[in-house]
Amino acid sequence: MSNKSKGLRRLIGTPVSAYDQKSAMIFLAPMMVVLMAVAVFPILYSFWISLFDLKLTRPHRAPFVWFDNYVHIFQDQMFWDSVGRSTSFTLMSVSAIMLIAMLMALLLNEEFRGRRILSAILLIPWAIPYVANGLMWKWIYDSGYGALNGLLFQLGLIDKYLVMLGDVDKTMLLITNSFVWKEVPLATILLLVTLKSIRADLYSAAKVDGANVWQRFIHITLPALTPGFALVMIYETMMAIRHVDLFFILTEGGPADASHVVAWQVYVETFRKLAFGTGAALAYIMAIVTFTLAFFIIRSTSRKL
Amino acid sequence: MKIPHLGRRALLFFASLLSALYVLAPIGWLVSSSFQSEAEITSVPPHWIPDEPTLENFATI
Repeated sequence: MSNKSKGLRRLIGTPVSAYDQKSAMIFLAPMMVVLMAVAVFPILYSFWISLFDLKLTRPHRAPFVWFDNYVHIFQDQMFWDSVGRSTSFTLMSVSAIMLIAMLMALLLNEEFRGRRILSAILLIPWAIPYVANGLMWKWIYDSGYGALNGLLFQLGLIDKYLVMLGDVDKTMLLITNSFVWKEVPLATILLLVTLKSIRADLYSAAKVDGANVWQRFIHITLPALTPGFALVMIYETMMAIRHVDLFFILTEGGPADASHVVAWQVYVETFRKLAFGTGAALAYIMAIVTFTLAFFIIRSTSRKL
Repeated sequence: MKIPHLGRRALLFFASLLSALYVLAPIGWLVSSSFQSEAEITSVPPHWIPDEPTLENFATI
């Protein structure tokens, strides 16, 4: 046996021949090329762009400015305001998603007639494309003839149709609602799967010990759900920080910048102001923040296990 | 015992109803609008069930 496959054998622990290793490389090569082109190259190239002062309005002159783009962003008050808006959007939507998804997962965990139909119904928002979701909510929130206004009017809760998305105080809540509505099914499934993996005899043992429903929930269900919560939190935080579809369709940055979040700023910088360097730098800042958050969430939740 | 069993079933039923409404309400309005003509969709107050259903919108696609 060659030295190469002996090392591999020690690593994997099963017999591996040198022939397998070579043919494995050959089979993996096409996939690696695609992965490099589609995933790795854009990540590296966009970091490269963020180091230049690249504006498509004057593409011939793009000086290398080291980290000037980043410095200018951190000095911009608009950026910090946007960070505040992104943060509040993320906090609101992730908490709402976790709460609603947990309640729905607990519901779907019980056995009752019609559970399958309910599961199918609850998955519908997930199946809708983001853009379709945005358009639907745009029409529901419309101040002229929206369904929400109509419903409130017919229930007698308001006297006349209110301005919804154009109202500085309401607009973030409405966008959060649209986002949460779309994201809840996926979170529900992730939590439901974690719930189903809890051993049933834990509950029986607790019942024998005299624990009531609330105590069983706090001491068995919640601790066992921690990895599920971590996964949902990381994923939904990531989606909330980078989400731009709803902001694009519903408010385009909002009445007087009320919904001008960092993700929207990336779009404006890159595609409207054509300042690619700044846009790339902003996108990288978002990526680093998301990565850091995910890192801390994983660290704090895996210690509990 | 019967009473806790009934209470549990009622709770599950109302929870299911609430979740289903939360999810289906916007979709239901969307589907209902797809069968309404433009004039009817933009009427105030909105028609939840189309008075004059039309297949025009599907024909346009």
